Amino acid sequence: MSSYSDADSFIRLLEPCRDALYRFAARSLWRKSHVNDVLQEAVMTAWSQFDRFERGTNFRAWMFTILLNTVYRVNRKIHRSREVALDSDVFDPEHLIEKETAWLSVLEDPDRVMQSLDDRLVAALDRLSTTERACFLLRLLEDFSYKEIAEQLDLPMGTVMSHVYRARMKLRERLADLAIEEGLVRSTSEDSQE
Amino acid sequence: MGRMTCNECRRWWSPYLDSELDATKTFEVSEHLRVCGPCRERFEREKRVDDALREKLCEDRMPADVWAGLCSRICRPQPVVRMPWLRPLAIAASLVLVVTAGGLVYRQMTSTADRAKDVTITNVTPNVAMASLLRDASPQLAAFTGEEKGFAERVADLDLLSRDLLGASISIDVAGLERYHLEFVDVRKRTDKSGTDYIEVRLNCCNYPVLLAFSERGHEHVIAEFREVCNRCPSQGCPPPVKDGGIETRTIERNGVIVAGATNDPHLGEILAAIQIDRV
Repeated sequence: MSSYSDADSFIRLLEPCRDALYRFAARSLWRKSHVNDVLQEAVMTAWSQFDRFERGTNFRAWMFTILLNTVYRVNRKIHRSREVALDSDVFDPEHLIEKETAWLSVLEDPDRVMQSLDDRLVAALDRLSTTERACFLLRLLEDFSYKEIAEQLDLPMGTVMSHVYRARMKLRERLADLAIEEGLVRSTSEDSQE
Repeated sequence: MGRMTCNECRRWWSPYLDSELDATKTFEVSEHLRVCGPCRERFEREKRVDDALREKLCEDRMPADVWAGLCSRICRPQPVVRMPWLRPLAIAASLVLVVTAGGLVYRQMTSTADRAKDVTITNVTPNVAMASLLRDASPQLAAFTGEEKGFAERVADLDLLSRDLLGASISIDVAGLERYHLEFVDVRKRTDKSGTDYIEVRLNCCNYPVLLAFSERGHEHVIAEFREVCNRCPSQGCPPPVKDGGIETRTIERNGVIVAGATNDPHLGEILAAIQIDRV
């Protein structure tokens, strides 16, 4: 059983990454109502295994691995029928051209568009699968390398690279849709009607 | 090695952005961006999209109550065997706290028994039974509060009472104690057997009860009685350290006010250090 000095050590290691763990859980869980429970489960699991943690090694990476496993387990219980359609690789050239054109419009003034979208930026993550989200968030927010992400998710590095790339592409597609909906850019169909 | 085309460059922009390409590919992409204005500009704009996403997604912070709850659970000890038949004794003992006074006030007392000794830091032999009793008594400590109040409000109550009773302003600086999930359960005026008023404070630290007493008059017989109660418990003579569930008591003096504390939590020293007392 861990002593009080172990509890102190554990909390000191946990404190610097508490916000990162929280926002990762908040952004990667399908249901936001699960965030606190998942965090608690992950932290208590880590605490129960703290005697197995090798002091001096990367606590943050270790903690994220435990959190990832908990997120995956919880997300798996929730059926996401939308995910099938989103992951389908239906090739529609006109659709792709329209998306690319809309995205180029966004890129003309990305700061203005991103600022205008504000909270809807977060909603864009809904398009990603659990693995795509995990890879993208670990890379973008937590600055883990592809190699570290591959170790945490038990995936080949090339797969991680693909997931991050696909996540970026899907996000940009979604952001282009949102920008059109908000009237921040014009769609190609609007242009062709004029 | 031929020059990279724009389409080829665009294939690699994502891992390039993440600095995940090998040296050769990194060089090729860098070279293309150096010579191709449109690709360089597009890459810069794509990077700004990533930066904006990162800034938005990093806005979340773990709420303070979630963090406090986690720390509380981590600090929570293993449950110990309860001894319910000792509960009345525990409550009585919990009301008896160490009080002493400033040296000049003690000397004014006529009774030799009431004359206080010089203030020293004291430790009572840890007692496992008393620890479990105090822990069991904790829900009752909370039940003593007639109303829910926040920490700051209770500190304000303590300050008002101490100005009235002791002529001193007392506060508790909790900066640095957040990880211990400190709860201010109750503060009230008490009267000991000799009819002397003192202030009793009840806190929870990582769910352990912490009892504090504030006074400026010495009551040596109260200290003796408290220790006698502890020593009468079946598990007397349990060896230290406090971490195994024993009781610790300490006494400090600050600006003529004596503060005594008793708890089975190992952070009594930090709590006492956080108490600020000024004469008014």
